[in-house]
Amino acid sequence: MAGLLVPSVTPTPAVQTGSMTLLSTTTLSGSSTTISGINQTYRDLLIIVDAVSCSDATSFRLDINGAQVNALGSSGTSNSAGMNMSTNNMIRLVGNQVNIRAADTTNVFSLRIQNYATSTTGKTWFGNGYFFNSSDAYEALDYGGGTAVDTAITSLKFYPTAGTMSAGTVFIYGVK
Amino acid sequence: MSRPIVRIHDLATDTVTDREMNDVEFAQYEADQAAYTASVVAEVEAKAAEEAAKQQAFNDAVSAAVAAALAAQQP
Repeated sequence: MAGLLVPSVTPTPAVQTGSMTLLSTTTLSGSSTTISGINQTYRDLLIIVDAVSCSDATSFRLDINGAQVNALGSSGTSNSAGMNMSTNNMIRLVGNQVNIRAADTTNVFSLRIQNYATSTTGKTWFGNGYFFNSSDAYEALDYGGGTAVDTAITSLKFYPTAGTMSAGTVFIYGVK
Repeated sequence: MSRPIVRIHDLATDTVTDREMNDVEFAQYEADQAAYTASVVAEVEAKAAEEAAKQQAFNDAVSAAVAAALAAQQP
């Protein structure tokens, strides 16, 4: 008797806590690039800034909701001592005592913002990065910080403090 | 003179817009530029002062050593 033919089907797994979904891909350009209308249904955001290149030696910053927020943070680098991430009301992905080298494309950063969609508590973040500084040396970064601002994060603005961005891609993932 | 260009990617509609800065953005941009320039100037001046202090300390040490050597040669 012929056996029953059962098709092989791999079930789609249910979305699990900790899983990630790519929400957007944005090419950096101009004096600033703002990503708005961010989906509000995830727990955290994971932001990857890949191969950003700037026309000038510059700090590189991130503003939340189109404005500089009162943020607290610190960072440590492999090369420049004492770089503060965000003591001046914005998030510095690179800056304060060191700059990205002009026209270099080896600069990468990641940042995870926790509970970004809540409007009842502040936000925390942590991340790391790697870049070529304006003194022609590579630097590795680790940083963490937060803000007491309890507004839900719906937009992110990336910008250099000098010149313009000529390349780079921002990937935003939603984390369940 | 044209203002700097900004890019806006609206994920709700998946549209990308490149345009000149508006008045509010341009005012913030100019403030940021001024603050950044001031910080760079301050950093350069601090490094120059540090180098000058090091050079002065070196000069003082050499002078002291020479004076000590000359004093030691006095009969």
